[in-house]
Amino acid sequence: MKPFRSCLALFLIAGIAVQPSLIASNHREAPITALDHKADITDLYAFVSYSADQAANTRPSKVTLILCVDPFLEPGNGPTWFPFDPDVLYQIHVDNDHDARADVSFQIRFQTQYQLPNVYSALAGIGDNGANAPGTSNLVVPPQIRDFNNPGLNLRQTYTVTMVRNREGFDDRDDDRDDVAEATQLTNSDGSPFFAVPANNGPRTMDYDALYNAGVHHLENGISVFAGTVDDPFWIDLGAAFDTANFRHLGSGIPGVLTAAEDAANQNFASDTVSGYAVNAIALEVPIQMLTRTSEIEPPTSPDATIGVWGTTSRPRVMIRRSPNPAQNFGPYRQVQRIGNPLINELVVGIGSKDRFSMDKPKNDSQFANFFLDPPIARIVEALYGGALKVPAAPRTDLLPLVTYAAPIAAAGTPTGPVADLLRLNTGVPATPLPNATRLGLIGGDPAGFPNGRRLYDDVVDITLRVAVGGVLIPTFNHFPNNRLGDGVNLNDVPYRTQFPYLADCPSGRDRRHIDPGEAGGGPVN
Amino acid sequence: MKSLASALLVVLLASVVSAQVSLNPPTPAQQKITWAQAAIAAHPDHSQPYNDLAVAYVHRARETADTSYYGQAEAELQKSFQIAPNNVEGQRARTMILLGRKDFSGALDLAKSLNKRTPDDVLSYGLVADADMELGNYKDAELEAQWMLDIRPGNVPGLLRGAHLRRLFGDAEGSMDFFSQAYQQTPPTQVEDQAWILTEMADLQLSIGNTDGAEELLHSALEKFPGYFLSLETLARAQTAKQQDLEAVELLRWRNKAFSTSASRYALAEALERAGLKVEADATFAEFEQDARRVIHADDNANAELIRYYLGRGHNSKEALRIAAIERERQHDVYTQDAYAWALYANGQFPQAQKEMEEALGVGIREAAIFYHAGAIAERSHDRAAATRYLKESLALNPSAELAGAVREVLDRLTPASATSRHSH
Repeated sequence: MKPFRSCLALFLIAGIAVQPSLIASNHREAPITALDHKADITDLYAFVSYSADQAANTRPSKVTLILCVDPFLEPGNGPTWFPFDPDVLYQIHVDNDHDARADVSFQIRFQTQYQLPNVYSALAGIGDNGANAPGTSNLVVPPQIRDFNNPGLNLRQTYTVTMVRNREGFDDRDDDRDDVAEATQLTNSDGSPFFAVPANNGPRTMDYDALYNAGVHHLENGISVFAGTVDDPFWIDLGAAFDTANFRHLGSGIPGVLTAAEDAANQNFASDTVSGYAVNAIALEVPIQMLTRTSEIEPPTSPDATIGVWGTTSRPRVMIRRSPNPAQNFGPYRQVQRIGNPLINELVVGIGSKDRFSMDKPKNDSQFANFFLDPPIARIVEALYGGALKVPAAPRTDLLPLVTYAAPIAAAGTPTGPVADLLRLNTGVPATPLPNATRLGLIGGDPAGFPNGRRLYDDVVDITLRVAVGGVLIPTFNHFPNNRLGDGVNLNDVPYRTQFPYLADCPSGRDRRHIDPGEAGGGPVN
Repeated sequence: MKSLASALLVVLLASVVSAQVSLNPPTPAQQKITWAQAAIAAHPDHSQPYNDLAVAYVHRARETADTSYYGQAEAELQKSFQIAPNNVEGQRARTMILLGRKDFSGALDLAKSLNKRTPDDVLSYGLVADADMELGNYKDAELEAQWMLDIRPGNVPGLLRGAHLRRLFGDAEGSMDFFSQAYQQTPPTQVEDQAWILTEMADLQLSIGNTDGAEELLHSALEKFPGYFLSLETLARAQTAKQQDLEAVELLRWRNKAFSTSASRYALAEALERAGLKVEADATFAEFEQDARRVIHADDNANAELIRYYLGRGHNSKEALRIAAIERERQHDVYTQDAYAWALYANGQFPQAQKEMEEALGVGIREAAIFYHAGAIAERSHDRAAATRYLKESLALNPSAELAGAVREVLDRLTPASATSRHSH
C-alpha cells in the first residue's frame, strides 16, 4: 500500500510556527539562535596579545582569541546562573592558507558537577568558616568561595580544550574525525582540570577575583586558556540602534552623528545597553607559530602572516538515517551558529537567510555575496537621513577587505581566497601600545585594530556604521557626516584587564547596575 | 521493539485523554475557511487572507478526499496574486495544490524557487522534500528533511518527513519514533492532523503484521476525526488482514458514502470479491476500470490500482505493463518501481524486472509485499539464493500478510526441505 505522502504538505501549516525574531546586536541575531540562548554567539575577538606597558613595535608573539556566548546574562539571576552547555561543542577555527577552511580548530567541551546536590543554589558561601546550624557544629552554609574546590561552588564546571589540525584540502565538518590529521588535548602540567569561572553572584558568596585569577591556566606549550562568566565586553546603544536607527540627538544636532570632540572623547554620550550584563566567554592565547601555515611568526609584509578566524557552536543532531546496532538517533554535530566579523549576520544578512548563514560554512559564503556587497543597512540608513547622507552605490567592492584576504589587512601577494565572513588578522602587525590605541581601529589610523582582527576596545558599531554605511574606505566618501557616524557609546562601562584574558570581571549580582538613558553616563533620552 | 511498543502506548494513552467530546463540530479546515472568509470581508485588499483561504481549501481536500477544493483554492490564489504578484505565501499555497494534484515535477520546481527566495523557511524545505520523495529523489529528500530537523530540532513537519524517509529506508522502529514525537506535539484541536498521524502509524503497523496495534490506532483516529476516509480505508485493510471481509466491505461502503475516488472504488471492489459478493464486485470493478482509464495520462490518476487490476482480475498483463511504464516515466519512487517490476515479471521480462527491483530495494525499503515480488522475480531469474533470501525476509517482516501463502508456496518450491519441516510441525 502506498502511503499518503502527498498529504504531508498540510503539516507545514499546522505543525510549526516560525516567527522571525527582531534582530538585536550580535546578541540573538538570527531566529535559530534566538531560540537557543546557550549556543548563541555574541562576539568574537582576535588580536595580537599585549600588555599594560606594551612598547611600540614589539614583535608579536601570541594571539588572543575570545569567543563570547549566551547574551544578556543578568548576574543576579540565580539559583543556577549560567553554566556553559555540556551539549554544545564550542569551537574557534583558524584558516591559515586563505581557502576559508579550518586548518587549526580549538574545540571546547564542558562538564558539570554538583558538589552539594541537595542545596538549592549553585553558589553559596559566607565568611572564612561558613555558617553552622545554631548550637551545633553542623556546617549548613559553606565558607566564602575562593577556590574551585570550595563546596559552595555547588554547580562546578570543568572543560577540555582540544587543538585539532585538519587535513589539508579536506572540508571542516564539525567533529568529523575523518578530517582530523592531529588532535591534541591541552592540559595543565599537573594534570588538574580546567575550571570555568562562575558568575559573580555577590561579595558575601565569593571572592570573584580570586576565582577569575585561578581560572587562567597557563600551559607548558605556551597556550593559555580561560573560560567563565565575565562582564559583557560589547557596548552599544542597542535600544536606539534597533529602533530603526533612532539614534539620540547629541552635540551635532544630527542623530547618529558625533561632533569632533565627542568622537575623540573617552567617554559615553549615550547609554551602553549591555552595561551591567554578563556573558560567557572562552579565551585562548596561542603562540603565533601554532597558527600560521609556515609555523613561523611572519612579518606583516608576508602573505602568510594573515589568518582568518571564526567561531562556531554546534549541537548533536537528530539523524534521519540512524546508526545501527543499537540504533542511535544522534549523529554528528549540526552547527547552530558562527561568527567572523561583528554585525555581519545582524546588519547585513537578510532575515530570511540568517539561519542558513548561521548554519553554513564560510567556504560557502559566495551565496551571501549579494548581501556583503550590497548591505541593506546602508540603504535603510540612507533613506532615514532623507538625502543628508550619501552612501556608495552597490556593488560595494570597498567592503571586500572584510570578506576576502585583501589590503589594508593582508599583505600584497596574499591570495584573496573566496568571499567568506572571517575575522582577518595580520599576525605580523605589532600591538599598539594602549595610550596610542584608538577605538576606531584601522580607520582611526591604528593598524592593529578592527578590521585587522578585533580588540575588546574596538568600537565596531561606529566603525561598521562608517565603513558599511558611510563607505569611508572610499576616499570620496571619507568626509562629514559619513566619517562621524556613531551611536554615542564610545567605550565599555567598565575597564578591561590589561593582560590575558583581558575581559573585565563579571558584575556583582547583588550590586550590578544597568545604565539607562537619562542617567549619569547614560546620555539623553531623546 | 521495546521503544516501538512504548511509542504506541504513549500515543494510545494520549488519545484517550484528549478524546473528542462534542458532536459534529466544524472541522479544523472548516474553521479555517470561516476565519479566512471573515478576514477577506474585513480586508479585501490584502493578499494574505486569500492565501489563508486557499490553504484552508487544500486542508479541506485532505479532510475529505474531494479534489474539487483545489480548484477553489486556485481561484483564491488568483485574487491574492492580483493584489501582490508572486507573493511567497501564495506561491507556497500553490505548491501545496500542485502536490495535492500530484504534479510533483511542477511542485518541485516551484518549491525550489520558494526555497531559494527564503532559505530560512523550514516549510519550503518540507515542500521540496515532499516532491522529491514522490519523484524518488530520496537522497535529496533526505538532505532537505535533515536540514529541517537541523534548523528547528523536533519540528513536526520535519519529524513527519523524517518518519516517511525512515520507513523508506527500512527503519520501521525509527519511523514510529518520529511519528510518535510528531503526534505528541500536534495540538489537540488539530484533530484531522492527529488522525492523519495515527493512520500513518497504523499503516506502518499493518506493514509489519501488527494488525491489532494498527486497529487500536485507527479506532483512536476515528474517535478523533469521525468518518475520516483515510482511517476507514486503512481499517478496512486491517479487517482484510484478519479475514473479516464483510467488515471490510462495510467500512469501505462507509468510506465511499461521502466522496469516493477511483482508488477507493477499487478497494471496495476487491473487498466485495473477497466477501463473495460477486455481482456487486463485478459492477464495482467495471465502474472502477471505466473511471480509472479516463485519467491514465493525468497526474492525479488511479494507475497503481489499475496496474494491480490488470495483473489480477483484469487478466491483461500487457496493459498493466503499458500503464506501469507510463507511471514509471512520471515517478521513480519505490512503489512505482515495484509496480513496474511486477508488471515486467508478469510479462516475462525477468532481467529487466530484476534490475528495476534491485534499484527499488537499494533505497533500503523493507516491505513484505515488495520482498515477495523481489523473491518471485529472482526465482524466475534463476537466482535461487536471492529468491530465498527475499522470500524469507517477506515472511519475517509480516508472516500474516495477505500474500504470505503465496510467499510460502514459492519458498517451498525453492527449498523443499524447509517446507517438509514446516508441514511436519
